[in-house]
Parts: sequence; structure tokens; C-alpha cells
Amino acid sequence: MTDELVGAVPVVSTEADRGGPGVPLLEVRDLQVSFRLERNTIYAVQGLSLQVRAGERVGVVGESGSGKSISALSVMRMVPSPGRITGGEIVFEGRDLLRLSPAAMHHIRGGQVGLIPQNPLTSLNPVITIESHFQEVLALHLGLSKHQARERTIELLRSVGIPHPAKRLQEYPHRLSGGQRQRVIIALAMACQPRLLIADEPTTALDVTIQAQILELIDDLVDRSNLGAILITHNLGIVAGHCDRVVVMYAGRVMETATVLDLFDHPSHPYTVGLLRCVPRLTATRSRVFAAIPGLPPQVTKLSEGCPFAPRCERATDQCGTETPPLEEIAPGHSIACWNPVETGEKIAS
Amino acid sequence: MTAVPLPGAPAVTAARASGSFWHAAWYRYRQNRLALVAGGVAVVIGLVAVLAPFIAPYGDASIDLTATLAGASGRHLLGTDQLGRDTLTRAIWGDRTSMTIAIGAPAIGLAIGVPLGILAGWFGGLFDWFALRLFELFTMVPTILAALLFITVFGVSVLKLALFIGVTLWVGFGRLARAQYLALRDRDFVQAARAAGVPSWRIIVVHILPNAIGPIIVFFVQQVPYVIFTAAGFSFLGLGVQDPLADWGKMINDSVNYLPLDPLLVLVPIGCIGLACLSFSFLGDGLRDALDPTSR
Repeated sequence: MTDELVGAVPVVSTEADRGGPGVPLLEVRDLQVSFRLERNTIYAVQGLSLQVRAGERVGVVGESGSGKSISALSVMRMVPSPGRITGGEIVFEGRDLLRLSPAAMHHIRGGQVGLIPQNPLTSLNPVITIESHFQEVLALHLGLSKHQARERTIELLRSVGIPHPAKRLQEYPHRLSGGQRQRVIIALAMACQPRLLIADEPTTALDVTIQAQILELIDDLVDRSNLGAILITHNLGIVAGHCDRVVVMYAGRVMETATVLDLFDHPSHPYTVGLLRCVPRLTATRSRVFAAIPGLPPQVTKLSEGCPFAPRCERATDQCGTETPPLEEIAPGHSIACWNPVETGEKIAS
Repeated sequence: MTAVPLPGAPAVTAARASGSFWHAAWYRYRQNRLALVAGGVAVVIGLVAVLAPFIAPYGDASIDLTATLAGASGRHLLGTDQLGRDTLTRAIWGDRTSMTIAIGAPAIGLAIGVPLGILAGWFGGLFDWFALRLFELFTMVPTILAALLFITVFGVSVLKLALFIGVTLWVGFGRLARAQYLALRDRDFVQAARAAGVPSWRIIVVHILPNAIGPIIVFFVQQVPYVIFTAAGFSFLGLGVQDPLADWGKMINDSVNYLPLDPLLVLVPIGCIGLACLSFSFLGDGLRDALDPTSR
């Protein structure tokens, strides 16, 4: 408590091991976020834990309302009202972001952590030129002059594949196509050389061919700058192609976390298995009906014991309804929260 | 250029106007003939007000007792009043008085209302609650009666009149600014600016204000005819501008007894009031269509 009063920032790790190979860039521990409404409280995130290392791309998947976007906004401390972060720690480069002063947080946002928002069509200010968008953040975080900012902007726009970047500076956002706008937004998120990139469904508003280009661009930036990246999506295909590790979320909890290879080879949580079964395959016969997980994800309005997926789970037992399964490691780097996991080798295809 | 449209090419009107929002707005404004003419007239009215000392044929209060109620002639194009003051000169100087009030009063209303509305819309919560109650409180106060009260208590001058009317106008500006900020606060580009670490004051001023300013300008211009009428009304009642200053409303009041002798004495100020009100009304409508195309 005194720490908060003085505004001191507790240093969890020392300068020397910051960013070292073993130490994660970002570590979220037991994050709790709830929305207090007039009649009830929605527990949007309950005990989320995840780690992101430098150069690693972590995919967060889940259905709509599983708390994945709220988790991302929590890292920026931008949970929309009436939501509040009620517990947990978000340690970024050794500092707990939840204890930073608002001024220090302004420096983190955009400066240390870049956010690629969901909708590229509406995330640029319609009355401000492309150049002004860049000028603003470059002056804020790096203190660049107008002239320096212009050079850097041209360089950034070129690096994200905007043709004739110098000609684009004075344009207004409505003159660019959706894909180009998303490229500009990515360049903007990268402008101040952040250490961590958070992409909140970066391709949902774009068509498929542009999607692939944008995702490759993000891959490329992560490799080149040794960034940590969180990729929020509900598309397992994107996870398979563009992530190193996956966190599967359901009803504000982590159900399973593993490397991409492990997850696709040995999915152990019945929910993950269900999700994978839902992916339509080109090789399937024509008559096959699309698989789906019956029911809808719950909106958690009261904290109760038991696995949140139990009502929709075909493997549920009495224990699932009364005791919450802890997140336990079943193999190195592979953890699940389930009482009755699907065994490796068990037939999962229907 | 090929005829193949680029993917995501903007709408035709926006594409034809080059670049910015203001270019597009000017393009839309130009399409409206009536607004274009009204805008021209409004500019002339404004210029006459500014240049009154140079273009008026006589001094603003110069009296020629040898030519009272002289009627239109080569010396006095629009005739003279009962004190021998040139009607054209009085109309030109009256323009200056009326415009000072007509621009000054909404400016004061804007200066009070917009910052309050912005803060209410942006911060919300308790601040918004108090601002709304304040709006409601001031909406209950009858405009004319409040201004009358101010005039009796504090006396009257051109600037005081602008202030008194302006104070009754601020609620409209406040409500409008609040609604704009409330709607824009949660837009994606505002969230994106926050995520880029832009401090709140910069978001309020640099990111939201240019998006909110259109309707505020329109509202401002739409208030001008209303204020001209109100100020003329006060002057006609003898509560507005006092001698020796010229004012359209006062000219009517002064001359109404001499109407049978020289109708021009009353018709000239009435024409001026009508022309000013109409031109600013049409200018306001044109600006609304140009700056806020979705509101049509």
C-alpha cells in the first residue's frame, strides 16, 4: 500500500537480467478483471496468467466474450469503464504496470508497448494527415523534431510496404485502402520501437489475401526487431501459421496453453479438441455437416466452483461441476485446466 | 489514369475534392447556390461593419438641422431622420453595432458553453451529472426576462448587451459540445490515440475538437439571426443601444412616428435586419449541409 502512495515502482528483476533469455518480457500473473454493472458483476477475466518472451509470438484464442480482448486492454491499462482490474500483476520488463503512475503509463503506451487495434478503417483520425499521426507519437515518445519525424515516417511507411511513402504523408486516411490503412496502423504501432506488440484481431476487417500479407508483415517485424507479440484471434489457422505458443481462453480463464506444435498434435483439453474439430477442412466429404460445440459461452456473473466449460463438455463428470480444475503442467511447456483431459492418442476426430 | 477503381476508393464526392475535410466541405458548400449567395451577402455585411468609418458618407452622429426629414435626394441618398441624420450613414453604423452584438453574443456563449460541455462529455460521471443539472437550471430561465433583469441592474452598452444575450445562449453550446464529445469519446481513433500514449488534453484538443467543430460552427452561425432579432427587439423597446449610437432596432423605434412622412426611415432598417437575418440563416443551413453532411 505504501508503495502505491509514494508512487514508487517496485523492481522485480534487476537491470542485468532484464530481457535475458530466461526472463519473460511480459508476465501476467493471476489477472482479474470485472465489470461492475448496476444489477450484477461480470467477471470477464479470472486468473489469467501468461508469459511472452522477446522474439516470441503468443496467440490468444477463444470465442467472443472469452475475455481475450479485455486481457489485451488490461496490459495497456485501458479497460473500458465500468470494468476494473481487481487483482493480479502485469510485469513488463521488471516493472508492475498496475502500479505505475498515469504519467509513466503514457510512456509505456505507444512507447514500450504498441497496440494494433481491431478495426483499421476507423482507427485513424479522419481529420488528421498521415504525417501528423506519426509526428505526434514520435514527438511524444522520442522527442523528434518535425524534420526528423518526417524522415522516420517515410522509412516506417516503406518498411510496412506502402508504395511512394513520401507522397502519402499529406494524405488523409480516407484516401487509403483498408489494407493500406492497416499497414499505416502497424507502422504507427512500431514507430517508437516498442518491445511488445499487441495485435487485437488485426485482420478481421480485411479480406483474405490482405490478411495473409498483414500477418506476414507482423511476423517479419517480430523477427527483425526481436519483439514479443501477443496475437489475439479466434482463427486457429492464424495461430497455426503465425504463432509460437497458444493460450486457449474460455469464460475468462485459461483452459490450455502449449506450443503451437503441441497444441495441434496433442490437444488435451476437451474445449481445445472441440475448437479444432470446428475447423472446416477442404478434404472433408461434401455431405459432412460443419462441426460445432453445442451451446453458448457463459457470461460469468457469479463466482462459482466448477469448470466453466462443464455444461457444454461431453466428458464432464460430477467433479467438473463442483471443483474448479487448476492449471497444471502435463508436459514441459504444456498446461491444461481439466479433470478429464483427452489422452494423447485418443481418437479425436469424429 | 485507368477507369478501374482502386480497392476501397473513397466516395465520388470525397475523391473529387482533393484531400482534407475542409476541401470536401467547400466542395459541398459550392454546390448550394443559395448558400453561396447568402455567404457573399454575409461577407459584405461583415465588411461594411468593419469599414463603416470609411464608407459612410457622413459622421455617425452628425446632425444637419437644415435638412430634417429631407427625403431621398442626391445629398442624402436614403433621406434623413427628424434630427437631420443621414439614413444611409445610420444604417451603415447600425450594421457595425448589430454585427458586434450578433457575433459577440454567440462568441460569449461559445466561450462559456463549449469548454463546460467538453469536460462534461469527456469525463462523464459526477462532473457530467452536475453539468446536466446546470444546463437544466439555465434552460428554465426565460431569456428575455433574464436579459431585461441584467439591463436594469447593470445598465446597457453594446458590449454589455452582447454579454447579456451571450450568457443566455451558452446552454445550447454546452449541450452540443457535450453530445459531440460523448459520441466521439468511444470512437476507435480516440482509443487508438490513447493506446499510443497521447495524453488526455491532447486527445481533447487535437484529436476530438477538429471532429466536433463542424456542428459547433453551424450552431454559431445559426444563432446570429436570432441575436440580431433579439438585439433589435431590445433596441426597439428602448432597452438596447442608446443615443448617439446607431442601431437598426433603434432606428425603427426613433422613426416609427414619422412613418407617414418618409416610409424609408423605417423600411431601410427593416430591410437591413431582414437581409442580415436571411443571409446568415442560409449561410448556416449551407454550412450545416457542408460540414455535417450526415445530419440532412
